[in-house]
Amino acid sequence: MSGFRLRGHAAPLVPFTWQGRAMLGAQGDTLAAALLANGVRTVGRSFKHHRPRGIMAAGEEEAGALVTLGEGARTTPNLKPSVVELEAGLVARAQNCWPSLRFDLGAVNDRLSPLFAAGFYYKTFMGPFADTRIWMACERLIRRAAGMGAASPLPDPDLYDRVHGHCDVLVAGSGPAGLAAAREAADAGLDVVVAEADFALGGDRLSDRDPQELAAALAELDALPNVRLMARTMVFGLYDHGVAGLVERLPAGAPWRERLHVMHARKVVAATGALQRGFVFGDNDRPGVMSAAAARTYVRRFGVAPAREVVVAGAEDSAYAASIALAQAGLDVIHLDAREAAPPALAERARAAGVDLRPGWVPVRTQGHALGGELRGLSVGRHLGDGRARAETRLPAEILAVSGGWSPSIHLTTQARQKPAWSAELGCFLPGEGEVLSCGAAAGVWSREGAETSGRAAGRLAAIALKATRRRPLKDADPGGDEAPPAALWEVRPAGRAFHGAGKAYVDPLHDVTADDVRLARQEGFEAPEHMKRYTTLGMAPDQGKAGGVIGLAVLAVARGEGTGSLAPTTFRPPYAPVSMGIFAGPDRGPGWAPVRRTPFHAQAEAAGAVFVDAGLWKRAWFFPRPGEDLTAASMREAAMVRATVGVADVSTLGKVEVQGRDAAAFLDRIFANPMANLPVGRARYGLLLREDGIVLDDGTVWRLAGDRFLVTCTTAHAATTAEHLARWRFRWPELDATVDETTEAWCGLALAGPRSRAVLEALTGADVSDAALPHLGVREIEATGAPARVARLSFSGERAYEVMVRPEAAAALWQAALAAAGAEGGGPYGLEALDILRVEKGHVTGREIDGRVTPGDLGMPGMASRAKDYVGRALMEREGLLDPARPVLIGLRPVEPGAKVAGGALLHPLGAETGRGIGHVSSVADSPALGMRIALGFAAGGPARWDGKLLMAKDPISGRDVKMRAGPPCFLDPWGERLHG
Amino acid sequence: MAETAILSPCPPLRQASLPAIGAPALRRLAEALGAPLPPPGRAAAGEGGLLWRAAPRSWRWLGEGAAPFHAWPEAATVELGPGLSRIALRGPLAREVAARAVALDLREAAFPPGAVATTVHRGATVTLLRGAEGWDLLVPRSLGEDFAARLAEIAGRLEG
Amino acid sequence: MRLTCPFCGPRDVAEFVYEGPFSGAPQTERPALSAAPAAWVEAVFLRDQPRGETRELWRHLHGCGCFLDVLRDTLTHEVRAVAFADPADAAAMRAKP
Repeated sequence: MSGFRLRGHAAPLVPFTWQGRAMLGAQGDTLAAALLANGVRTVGRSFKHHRPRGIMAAGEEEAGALVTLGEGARTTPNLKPSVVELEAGLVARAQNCWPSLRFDLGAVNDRLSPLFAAGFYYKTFMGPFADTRIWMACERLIRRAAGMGAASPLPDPDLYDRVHGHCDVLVAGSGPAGLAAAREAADAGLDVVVAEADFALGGDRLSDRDPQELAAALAELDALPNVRLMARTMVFGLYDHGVAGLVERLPAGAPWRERLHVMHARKVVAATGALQRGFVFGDNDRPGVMSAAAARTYVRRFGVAPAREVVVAGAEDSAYAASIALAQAGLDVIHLDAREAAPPALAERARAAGVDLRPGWVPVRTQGHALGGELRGLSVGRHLGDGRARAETRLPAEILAVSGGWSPSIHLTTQARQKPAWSAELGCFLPGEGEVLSCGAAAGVWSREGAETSGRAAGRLAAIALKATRRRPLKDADPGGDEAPPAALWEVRPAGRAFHGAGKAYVDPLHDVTADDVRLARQEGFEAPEHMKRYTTLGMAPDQGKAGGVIGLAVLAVARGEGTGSLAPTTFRPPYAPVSMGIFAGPDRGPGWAPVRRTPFHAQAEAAGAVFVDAGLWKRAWFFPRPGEDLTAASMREAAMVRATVGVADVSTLGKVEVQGRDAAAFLDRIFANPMANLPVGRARYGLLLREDGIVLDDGTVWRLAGDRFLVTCTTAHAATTAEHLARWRFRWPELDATVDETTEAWCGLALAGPRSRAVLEALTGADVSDAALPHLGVREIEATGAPARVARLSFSGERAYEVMVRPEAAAALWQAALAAAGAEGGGPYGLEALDILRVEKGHVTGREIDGRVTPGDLGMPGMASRAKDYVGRALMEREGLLDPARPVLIGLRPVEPGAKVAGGALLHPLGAETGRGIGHVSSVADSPALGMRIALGFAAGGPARWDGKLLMAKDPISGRDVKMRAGPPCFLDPWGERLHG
Repeated sequence: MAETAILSPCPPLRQASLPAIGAPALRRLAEALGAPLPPPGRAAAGEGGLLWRAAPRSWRWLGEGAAPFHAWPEAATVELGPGLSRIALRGPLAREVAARAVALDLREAAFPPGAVATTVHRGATVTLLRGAEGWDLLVPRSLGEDFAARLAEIAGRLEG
Repeated sequence: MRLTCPFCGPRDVAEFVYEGPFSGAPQTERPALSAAPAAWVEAVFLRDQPRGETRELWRHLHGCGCFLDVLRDTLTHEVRAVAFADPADAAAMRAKP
């Protein structure tokens, strides 16, 4: 009635759970083998029609049913039981059935299936139903009725490894051809990796009667130091230039669940074998219908008989290998060969093994049990040619093992852009020629001896290509190797008039796509394979059309009146089979998914009580709260402190680039919008850099340390882009003698800002830092706390201020001394938030204003764009659109109501015209202690010239808050800059 | 169990660049080094340090000893050491950890002791050197703590 | 994708950045700073989109830092040649002590 374990296959027992029932399998089983051995036939319900489905294959071409493994956060849906390795404690469930597998209410869909023909989605809900809520309501039901498994919404608790590997030759597949290729390449002294997706090595040899030969071959290869045999490792993709993606499944208990190998191979050999394909006929999807090769594998490799009574229906020679293997295992086998003339030698061997051979017959339609629908028998008829047959008699069967032919697994070579070619003789696509070598069944070589010959030839070719041997190429094996040619059978259709329905012939069982669906697609105009695929969804299920794809092409070709070979298969893209998302994330996930950058003052700031904020990848000190203070209270206190006495801030993250050489000054003069060549030694200057399209790239400062030595600083966010900008232009002017080196991290720095800042600086150094020696914008190289330092008198806050840079190893000492001195003056540390308040009060721009859209004129600095020299960006800055007087220009904004809090990003509108995008936006806001209100910087069309003193409405469409603001110049404090000298 | 990934400050690393390099300049450098100049991808030992060619017109010296760049008084020099941290990969797991940090070919023939390469790790420019005791990874200083912690974690998993 | 840097050898593409099409020499990459805006519009905004072989400028950012002259096929992704884009780098490598 169902499957059972054959005697003589003893292996340790492995407990597992199926549908809540405890079962036992054998070590070395796949889940499918274990289910068959336990007499399970129905394994799931199909996607649309909810028909019962069983095990159809013994590999990745499984199209019968998908299962869900695991529980809780480790639930993994849509797995093929034929590739799942049986491990102790495995928990598996059927999918897409409710309330139970046997009694699935969704089965009503099978009756309604004509409504769910290909493309139904595009045809229903048109006309009166379009744009109605009826569609939405039905959508929810449809979604629940059709389905695959359900994924867990919980985060994946497992870890995934990623490692880079290098080898000379990567062999995909450990079958006879693959091992032969590996041996040949290894003998030439090359580094060889053999990747086998299965958990057991050997490929087709695993289904041999005698396993000894395989064990010996593997042991010999494993002993070689330059060969790595990797089981459970699938080559899922070939990428450009010899890069292969491999995913390795790790054993339970390993720290990672899976490992991604980014393998750089100098040569790839595809020994990926071939996948059996069947032919379709009425109701060919019942539990009990499987491929003949799978039946043979279950018997030979796993010692599992799928049933006692088996009918083998073949259209080519390899079906005999299956029927003979089944008969030798003691099963009752009837073999239907679609060809009138059975191959004599094979026919004799079959009969000698006890097979009831019936040449010239084909299955027409299956019958199933009333309850459950599993295979009970089939109607058969004489093959009248071209797939036509008339049902003449019935045969009982529990298993119907079908073999139509083989499809070489050409996915990898096709990914490598080697176009496959159709072989009418063999009825399959053969891999294209190119850098990736194919051998064995993957090259259409069917016989065992041929596979080994072919593998050796490929291994030799690889060695020759890599110049590891001077020997000559070996003779290759020809594709084919059958005794008699296959009948090109793709579909069995009833001849003449059928008295009852012909049943549904499933081409892609996982997506419930029938042969009629393919013909319907063509009828509706979707006659290119790519269109037919997407219209019917054939080949888009987790099996990716491995078994049914070529049948679909053949049915389409017949419908178009053409030969199969005239149609190109749809493009294969990685992955070859489904892979976990986790392997692509690898270690880059969770809270540490991005690297964290810390300044040399980090530990000191932390000890001083800093709260940090993420600024890009950097952790920056945000504020230093005293007990009871929140962000606003602390930052306002810190800002007030800087204006009253002195504050110390970490400015280490600023980008720094050293430019040196005889032409360094000329180089910088061409880069900056304002003049730099005339900058005196020992002075600093604020500068604007433009992109070549005239837009401001960044602002920064330039310090002249010597005639031929400059330090360029720029904003934190643009450290890398400014360095790249300088390097790019340095490349374009090779006539200049100048070098550009990024030194952002080689120097760290503190800003000392406030009326008492000079006193703090004096406490750090013995050098003369009086106003005479170090005037505003002066630069000196001195010693600070005993270490070499660079000091510039520059101000971001508008107060008297100094930037002190030292080497990172001197950071701790500098911080201690600076904080002590500041404390003595009544000051202390301040963070990023206070820094921002201070600069907004003064109208100094940052990345919120320099947002990649503004010109110097937009920033209120038209004068920075020199008219007296040429520089990067000058030509395109004079485009009409960038000179338009209606462009938004920087303005300052105060609330009309002192307590109102405008939000950054709010849109600015003239009063009374408050719809649409407005005439500008708010770019920065600050709760100003100096002014006692929340002030803002922004952009408004026409700028202060147009809006000074006038009212604007700042509308925040997200929070719905509107704040009336009065516009003015973008500087709220000390407009003449007197405090710089305070 | 000895640690596999150990963080420490980077020794002095000085870079010297010339706008053009001809045979005479190379001869002077070899003389100052007291040894033949290494080819790209290899570091030569000098007194108190290692010398390698970082780019066609740019050489680097790593170590406390005096750099041989006095042979090139006209060169543009810059101190890169202070901006870097060193992560020492030691022990039997060192190569496995390195193979997870960089995409370089780390096989014996491709990266023997004395080899040096600048490459990328998590978006940052890093330099890998192989010595007799193991592998040294020079990384931007701001990322040293983060990178060392991650590599130590990976080493722990490989071990466990 | 991999590129073979003439200085560093074969490396993963993550070490490189693409800098746009290559005119063949550093000096011809952009017009003179004093050139008319029309010449700059042409250079900055107008690009060919070749089907097949294309000449590109790449930079080995996370490596030697050299600018590279790369001949690449946009259809097959084959990298036909990689050379130093700056003749001074090529000259420096030819010098033998």
